[in-house]
Amino acid sequence: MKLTAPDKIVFSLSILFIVSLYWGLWQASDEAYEVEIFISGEKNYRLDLHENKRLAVKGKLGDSIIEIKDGQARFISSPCNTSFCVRNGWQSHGGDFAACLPNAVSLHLVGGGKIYDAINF
Amino acid sequence: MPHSRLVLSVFFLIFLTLSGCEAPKKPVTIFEEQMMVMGTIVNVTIANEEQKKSEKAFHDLLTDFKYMQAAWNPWKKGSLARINQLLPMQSGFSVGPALKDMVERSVDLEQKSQGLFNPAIGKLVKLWQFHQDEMPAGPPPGDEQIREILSANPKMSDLKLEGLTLLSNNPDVVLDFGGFAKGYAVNKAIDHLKAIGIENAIVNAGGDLRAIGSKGGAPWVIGIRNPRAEGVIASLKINGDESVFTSGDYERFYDYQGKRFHHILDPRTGYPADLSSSATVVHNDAAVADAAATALFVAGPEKWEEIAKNMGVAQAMLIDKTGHIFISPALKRRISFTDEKSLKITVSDKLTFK
Amino acid sequence: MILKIKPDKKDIVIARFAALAIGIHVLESLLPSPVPGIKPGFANIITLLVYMVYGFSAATWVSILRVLVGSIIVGTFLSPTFVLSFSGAFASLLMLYCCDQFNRHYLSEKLSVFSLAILMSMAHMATQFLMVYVFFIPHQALLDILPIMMTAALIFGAFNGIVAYRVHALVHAKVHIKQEIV
Repeated sequence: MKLTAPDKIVFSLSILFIVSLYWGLWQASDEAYEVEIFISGEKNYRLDLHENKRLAVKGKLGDSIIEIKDGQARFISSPCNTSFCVRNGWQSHGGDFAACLPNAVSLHLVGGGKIYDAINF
Repeated sequence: MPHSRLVLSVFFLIFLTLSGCEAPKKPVTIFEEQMMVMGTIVNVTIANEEQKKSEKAFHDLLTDFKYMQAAWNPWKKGSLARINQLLPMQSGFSVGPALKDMVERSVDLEQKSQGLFNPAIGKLVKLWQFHQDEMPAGPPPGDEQIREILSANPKMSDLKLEGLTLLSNNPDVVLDFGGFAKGYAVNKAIDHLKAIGIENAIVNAGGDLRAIGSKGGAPWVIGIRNPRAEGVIASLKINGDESVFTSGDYERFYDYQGKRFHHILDPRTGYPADLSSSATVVHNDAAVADAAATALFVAGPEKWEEIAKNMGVAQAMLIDKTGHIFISPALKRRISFTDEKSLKITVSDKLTFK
Repeated sequence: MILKIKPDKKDIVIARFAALAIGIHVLESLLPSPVPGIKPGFANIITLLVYMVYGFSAATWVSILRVLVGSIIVGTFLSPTFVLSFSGAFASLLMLYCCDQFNRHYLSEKLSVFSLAILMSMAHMATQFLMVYVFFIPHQALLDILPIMMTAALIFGAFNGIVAYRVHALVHAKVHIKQEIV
């Protein structure tokens, strides 16, 4: 069939558009995009990792302070005596988690390119 | 068109065939919940089951785990604590069937691991303060104290089990099933799920797991974390009913004056084993996997193959302190490393049985 | 009082083509789909043909009738699937309208049915996607399959456009009458 000039323009633009979709969305999907915060095993929060904030999560012993920044999350402080959770530092990949067991507060990252059904460590 | 009838008939046939295909109407339903128990987070994943059944199963497991945690604490009031109090008397007493089973299996596993897996060193574990859920803050125990316990040489082989009667020949034996209880508990959990008719599930106790069945036909995919860096170092597809257990120097530890002390003690030296950064075992039996991961970690790069062979472990991987990976051929065949080019991998030539 | 509604020529033409489109739509729903929501949309060929021969208004009728009656027959009427179908059809007709206006008033060289089909298909897919994201599953994972779905929309749209063109050429050669029903 005969393709006119406008046809060719439309086609090229469509191809460009779709390619940009792959490029834009599939790169971003390699990072974790949300964090779930559990208190005593119950999911209490599900927050966007790209909305920077600090929040106090009330657990068994008191408040754990969690920080969310630029696609990462971490414990800043916790009322337990060893702060293992804080020492774990920034979590940035889907499936990563940090937990303050004495305070029964944990954070888990959701998303990221490869999705595993379970992580062994 | 001359061939139009033929073309149409072919199309019609293809159409009929395709319309016989059942498009998957619903994606696999995944139930995933977690509980805080046994000093860690236990994740239960169930595929393709009614929500109510999964929820009930989850609560059953929560009850079971809580019971096991209380019963198997070496020091706090419970079944194991009672045993530990009676053992030093060096005369026979009765034990319940669950703990009897654990003792029996541990005796066997200790022998096969040439003593590297030794749950009889509860006194040593307590000395290092790794016997409780809370993390110790240090300082580490002194050489004197450690040597004192080592010279008493508590071992599983010091125990005699006849029927339900247990007797100890060594007053310094204290049982702490730290490197075994998780595996044993996971076994019990999976047994329970199977008993109530759940065939596709993962029970993941703080990173050590056993998986059965599949995710709607597709195998469960397990990621193995890098002991030293962020992210997953390798992944594995589960085939049927398998356990994946890893012992690492990063799980429970404390830092004191710049030095790190972790919870996997070498029964020969009385100090944390320092030849490996992690050991991973894949095996059907979660209890064996747990004990073997502990033993291989202690064994280190020189001895791990010998111990693995003895314990009947064909699929194992050891990462030493420099990040050098030692792996058995059976595991190397099925594992896929995230970035193989960047890793130093040595495939064992001694562990060649299947 | 008996109300007699007499169908005129326009009604009959639209009804016949709508029936054809509905038939194709129902048959197509039997085919397996790797991802729920991705269908070739062959019934759109009818919409395009009707547009080419009878104009935008007729094409709209055929398209709407196809979505409504098709969903009743398949059994998804007023279900979430229907909402998606309808909004997709709406968007694709809107796109057709815009292209039609462009062709008539702004372009010397016109967009062929090939471009129309591609644009309509992509508009259809994008709108369905938006509806799912906003009203049903606002999940990040949805964005991961968007590029694939849009690629499929492009491919199927191109296919539909080519078929519509070919069929039109075939019919046009035999029937020399072109009616513009306004």
